[in-house]
Amino acid sequence: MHLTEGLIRTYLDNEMAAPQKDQVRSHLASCPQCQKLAEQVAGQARQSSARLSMIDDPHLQSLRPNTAHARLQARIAEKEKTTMRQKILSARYRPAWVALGLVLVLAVALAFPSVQAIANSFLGLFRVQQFTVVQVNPGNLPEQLGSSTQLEQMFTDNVVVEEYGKPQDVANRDEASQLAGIPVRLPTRWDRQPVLKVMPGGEITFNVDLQLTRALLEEIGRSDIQLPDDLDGAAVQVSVASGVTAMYGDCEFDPGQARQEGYDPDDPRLPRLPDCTTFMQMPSPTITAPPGLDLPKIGEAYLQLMGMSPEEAASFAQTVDWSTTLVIPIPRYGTTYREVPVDGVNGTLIIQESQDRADQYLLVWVKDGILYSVTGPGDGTSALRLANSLE
Amino acid sequence: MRLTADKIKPESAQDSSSWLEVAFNEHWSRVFAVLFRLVGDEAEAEDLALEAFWRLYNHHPNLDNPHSLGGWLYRVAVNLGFNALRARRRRQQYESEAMLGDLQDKPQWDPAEQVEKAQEILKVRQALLRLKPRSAQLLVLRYSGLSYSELAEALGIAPGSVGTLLVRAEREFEEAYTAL
Repeated sequence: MHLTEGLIRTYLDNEMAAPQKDQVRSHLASCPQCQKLAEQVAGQARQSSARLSMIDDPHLQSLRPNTAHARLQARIAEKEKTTMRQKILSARYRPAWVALGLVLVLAVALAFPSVQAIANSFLGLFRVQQFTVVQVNPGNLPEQLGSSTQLEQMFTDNVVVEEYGKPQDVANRDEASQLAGIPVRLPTRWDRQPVLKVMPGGEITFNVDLQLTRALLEEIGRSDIQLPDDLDGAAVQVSVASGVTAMYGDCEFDPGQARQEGYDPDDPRLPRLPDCTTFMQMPSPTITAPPGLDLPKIGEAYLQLMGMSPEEAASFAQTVDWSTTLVIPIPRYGTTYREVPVDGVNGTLIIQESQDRADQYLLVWVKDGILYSVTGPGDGTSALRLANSLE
Repeated sequence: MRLTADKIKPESAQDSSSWLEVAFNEHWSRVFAVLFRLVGDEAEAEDLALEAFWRLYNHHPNLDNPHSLGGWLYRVAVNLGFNALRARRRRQQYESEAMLGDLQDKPQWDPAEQVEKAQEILKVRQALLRLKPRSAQLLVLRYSGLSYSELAEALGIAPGSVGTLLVRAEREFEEAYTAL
């Protein structure tokens, strides 16, 4: 039995425990073939070491730890100021796909207050009554917004976010109903017990700064998009009431396991939760804004930003009732959607196809002023079963 | 769902600054050195190292196990370093210009020898960028002094396979380097 390169390398690097080390040493002493291999391994290591040492600098002096530590504290203080945006955009903050839905809604509503925010001209109030899906080519918009300094400034200067508390675990439906202030519905035909959490509501207020918004558009190379002047200074308030999340299956994200599977902490994609179904219900968020704004015009700008051509955006914007419709942008490729009857109303089932993991679905509908969503792996069949057995 | 963060991230500012300080004192110099190897510029390496520690503070990975904390940190650092290198490559050979600029700042050195050295350094980094990411990370971290168990933790591989992967990574590196 001869030694492998890996064993030899481990031995040469002195990374082997004593008993095995002795075995390898005595084998090497008596085996010319392995000696030869050991010389090759050592030779290659020397060669690489010599080359890689080129990128060392023997005169390198790291900052004194005290100085570096002070700079770290300063950076933390600086970044904490801007975590508001991260809080809202952070996928880890709420259960996986629900987060994605909320993030889309909030990110869009916040980055472009113009959007649905600008409610109907009489009440100045937006309340979700229906969904419309629009297929778009957002391109690298998410990355651009993520690294935009203008957006960051907008959040720091103009946006106030208030969260009413932290997510709370609750033991049963009654407790959830009481805490959230809505009659919580749960599926009867579902073989597992849910983990119930009450998510706190919150309020986001800001004034539209048209100059800043235009600077942002310019920064991301979309200064071609026109915004109506009357938008400037509009006071917008987004209210989100408490909601309840029921999680079925294995929904806890385990960092240890994820690392084993090659999870990349820099990868902004959501963690893999192959066996997690999340059911969420919350009263429709409301958005108040000054009356009299040109909603279709603003909707048009939003659709263009999402990658629609100006003509396409203009004609689509006219078909939407922007005061009651939540427009969900989905990528044109890799995502499909369809209208489905669910829970006695019409819902929308969106499926995100994936090459390297299971497809994920998002089923959304509104009934009696409550917004419902189910997310999980698969084609959504089980979601419909869940939704149709609610009581 | 806040992952396991509530469990492990101390709530008070004082607590959080103390665990961070422990991690900082233990890993700062080496994280900085890893990044310097990759980007070759002290200010940029410092900036990236601070970014890695900021992410540690912000993402608070599993702090129950100090080994996994170090591993997480080195992995983030080496990713940041390679991302910076790739971004630089996209900025069209910034490196060679920067190095030539450097040479002009230090006229007392032998220019011919320095140009040659700068070219070799450029070649090493280019070769690293051509490797499979894990191989490149493995080499940089190993030559920054990480032990087998630290490498295993940082890259999520079995400690027993580090030797084999190192031999393989060096072979890949030699091929990439000589092909340049």
